[in-house]
Amino acid sequence: MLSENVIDFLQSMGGSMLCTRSADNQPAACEMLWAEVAPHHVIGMVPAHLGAHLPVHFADNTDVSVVTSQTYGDHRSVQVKGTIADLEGPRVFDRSDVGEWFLNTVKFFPQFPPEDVARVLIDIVGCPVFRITIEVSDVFDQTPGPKAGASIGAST
Amino acid sequence: MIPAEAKAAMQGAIPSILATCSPDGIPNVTHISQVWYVDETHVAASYQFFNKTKRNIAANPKAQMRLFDPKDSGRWVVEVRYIRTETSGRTFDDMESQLEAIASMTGMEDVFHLQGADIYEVISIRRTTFIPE
Repeated sequence: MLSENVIDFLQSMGGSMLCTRSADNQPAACEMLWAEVAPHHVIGMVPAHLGAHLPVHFADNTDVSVVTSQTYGDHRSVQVKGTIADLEGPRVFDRSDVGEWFLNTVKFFPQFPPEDVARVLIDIVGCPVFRITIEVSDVFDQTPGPKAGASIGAST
Repeated sequence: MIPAEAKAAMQGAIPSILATCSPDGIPNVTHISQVWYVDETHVAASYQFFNKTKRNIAANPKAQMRLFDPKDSGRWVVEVRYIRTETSGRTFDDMESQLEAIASMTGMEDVFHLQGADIYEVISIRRTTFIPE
């Protein structure tokens, strides 16, 4: 499960890279924005044009990995592994659907001017997106250094 | 095969993404400091300490890279196959020099050390953007 400290970190970063794989073990990564981060599950939004491979992968298997990194700064990096519980879309979510996600996501980017974040998010909300729900099975510290790869949480 | 305009994303300005998969189907994704242009059909990735990635590509050479253009929101999706790791020679030396510069700029001098240059064959490469164009 995700500790409170890891949840705070993931929410503070907002964005992540999602990795799934095809039936013949070809991995594919794409950008994902956090919509919800909870101890046992996470939900993300993936613009449809970046995640076009997701339905094919999800039809074959549910294996998934997500990495979130502070690439500028202390380089802290956390990898979440688990299974896809649900893949919805792609569709254009209306404001009532994404209102909470939208508001949550804006707060994830305190380092950028709110108007810039809002403009980008409005563009994303205006395009079709996948909504992916992931059940967390393992969590790893992936920060560069001797502790990289250490387990920092598992399903209970 | 690698277009000239993709080279800007291989200068170490923005960390790249490397996705791999174990033989039993568990995906792994990590940031890497460097993706280096070798020739028109090959790139090299810096091997520093990502042990899970090393184990994955040794057993399943299929991987995917995501490179970020430093001048706009463009990104390159690169499907690759791992070939070998070089620990000496021109590619290794050039990457080691660049990695030292990256480490110096990011305050990671004590952490970033090149152990090898992982050579990959480029199977396909395409450009995309975060927001649809």
